[in-house]
Amino acid sequence: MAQNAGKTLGVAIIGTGRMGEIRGHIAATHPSVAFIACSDRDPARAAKVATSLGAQFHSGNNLDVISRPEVNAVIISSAEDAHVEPVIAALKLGKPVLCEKPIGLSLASADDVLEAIEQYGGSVRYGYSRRFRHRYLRAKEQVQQGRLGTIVGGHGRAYNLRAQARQADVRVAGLSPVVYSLTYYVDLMCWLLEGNPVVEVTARGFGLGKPDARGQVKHDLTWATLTHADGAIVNLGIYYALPEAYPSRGLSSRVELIGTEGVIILDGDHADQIMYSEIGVPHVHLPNQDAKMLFLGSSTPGSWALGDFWGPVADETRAWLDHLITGRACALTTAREARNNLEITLAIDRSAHERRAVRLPIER
Amino acid sequence: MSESKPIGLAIVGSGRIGTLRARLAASHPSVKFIAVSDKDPQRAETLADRVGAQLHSGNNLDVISRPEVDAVIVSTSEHEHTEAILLALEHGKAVLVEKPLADNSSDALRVIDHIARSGGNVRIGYSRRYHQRYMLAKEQIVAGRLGKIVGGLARLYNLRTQAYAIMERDPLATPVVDSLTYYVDLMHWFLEGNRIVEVEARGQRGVLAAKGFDADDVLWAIMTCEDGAVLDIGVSYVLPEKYPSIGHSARVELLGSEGVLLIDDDHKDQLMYTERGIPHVYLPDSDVNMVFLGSSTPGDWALGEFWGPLAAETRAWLDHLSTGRPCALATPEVAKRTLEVTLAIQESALAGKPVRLAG
Repeated sequence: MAQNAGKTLGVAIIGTGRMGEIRGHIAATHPSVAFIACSDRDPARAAKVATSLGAQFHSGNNLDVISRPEVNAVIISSAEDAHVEPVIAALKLGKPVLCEKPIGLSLASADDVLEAIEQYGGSVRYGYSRRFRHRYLRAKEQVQQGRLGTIVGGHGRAYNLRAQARQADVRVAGLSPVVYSLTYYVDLMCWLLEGNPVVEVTARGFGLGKPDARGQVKHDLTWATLTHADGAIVNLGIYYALPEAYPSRGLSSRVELIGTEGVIILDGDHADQIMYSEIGVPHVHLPNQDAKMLFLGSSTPGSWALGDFWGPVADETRAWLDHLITGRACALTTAREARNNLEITLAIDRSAHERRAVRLPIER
Repeated sequence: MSESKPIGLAIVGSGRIGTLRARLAASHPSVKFIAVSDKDPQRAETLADRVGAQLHSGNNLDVISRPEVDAVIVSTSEHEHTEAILLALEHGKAVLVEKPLADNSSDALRVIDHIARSGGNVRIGYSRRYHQRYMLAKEQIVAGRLGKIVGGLARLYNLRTQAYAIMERDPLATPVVDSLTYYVDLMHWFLEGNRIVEVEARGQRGVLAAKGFDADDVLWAIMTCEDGAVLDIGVSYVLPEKYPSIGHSARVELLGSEGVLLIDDDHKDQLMYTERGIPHVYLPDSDVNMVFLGSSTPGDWALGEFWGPLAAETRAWLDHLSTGRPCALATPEVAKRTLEVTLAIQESALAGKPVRLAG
């Protein structure tokens, strides 16, 4: 039995957008969580989510909630360019952190986090929730059991809707899909090939520069080939311009591993579960439009059903909260791994833009 | 209604695919004469008996030069394609040659030069084009439903035992030159007129190299087209020998400004498990229990007939000869380009550098 008698958690939710709200719901329903505080740069949004979660405190100021004495765990679900500051604030106060990916947008800011961890002796884990998609957990298990032999190569690709790219661009102008999304698959592959670091990246990209594209994202599509230290070849791709009404609601992905003794082929395109309805389904990203066809199960974080949230982000959030309470190990990405993911994604973008191979490490 | 001409056919090379082509041709309504050859005269005779051919020989020239012969199917080993094609062209016969056109670019150039000088009808059997899912994909592109193509993906896996068999026949017929070539051809066909101008590839050696073959276990290449579209293409011929597929396991995807096409060609939709065991195609002494039905690349025998891409392709070519109807088989120019791209992919993987192709 786990050693958890009497221990409770007070959780701060920093950033109450879609992800913060989901994480907040999981926290609010976790048996060990006795206190919740949330903040958002939009105080009205923080208040609204606080009410729905039954949170005891809310604010427009992150530090107000992180520094509450009841808070002993901090979840950071702010926009990609607003991760580093609250992470370091929590570390300074000795509070463990679960932060959304990516660790930051530059290697210098990622190193600030690593230095703060060193200095204050804290713990930060990053929410690369693909690891908690059961199919990838099972793949990791097979790799650990040695059933593939030596991994000689792999492939991962993810496609998503144009509307998703626009949303990301609204959060942080010019944010590259490689850095905020392909990073999931970089993380997965590095996890699956643990101990075998990437030494070289080569990539190419292309985009049509559609008139409705904002920001500076040049490539709708990027293909990359990673060479690992032992020579294994991992090929990755990301495309964020699927047509608006394509029936998926999140990442459509494929992950494949080839080993000397076995092969794993994972279909994450969600075409196994379709719903067609003449009544229509509200389209998440196109408010005024219903869709008739939907790949159920295609939402990346998971889905609401029967009043609860189900899926990778639920399992991941619970795994982290359990880890804090009972000390059980959890599979969440460490800060060092998150920095490595960022470095690889920055190298991919650089290789695609400069059309040349990029060797790792790259300069800060 | 089209007017049809009778066809006299020579089959050069009586191996597995030559045998299949001969059997398919023998049942075509326009084929009136068949001659078969093989460097092993006994094998030619066996095939001749089987299909009721009028002539067989251990000498290719004997069958190609026969006055009854109008057309020649070249199903020899990869490195013997060029001599047989040139011989047929010199005798003014139409040619269907198995892919690749040649295993090196100077041989491919000899064929192109000969056609430029003296004319001739040569088509290359890239039978993936006649796999219905790819035919349907091409139709969507022709109809403009994808809009402008931004890029795509093709990946091919197959058993390591297949790689051993092919490279024992011809060491230059690597998984890239001999097999990935199908998917380079498909991309050329889908993106017709938009040439691949640069390839950047990386590969990893292991199982195949340990067996003494000069080939990568896993190879991925990113190909850039002249309009900037980027195509990702990969091949691995090291699947375990009892993996339940008996041919290509493939994925082909196309991303366009107005649409997307995802093609699952891994054959998981039709599986058979039997405690009785199924003879393994490439491991004569071994049975398997599980097989992905429909995973044989050329197609399958069922109820006494052969069904699948190779049947459709052979028929389309014979119809083309007999009635003049156009067919979708690859032309020598495209096949030469495809060969150049596959050679560039290998060169890039070996050097760890991008390779540019002349425009």
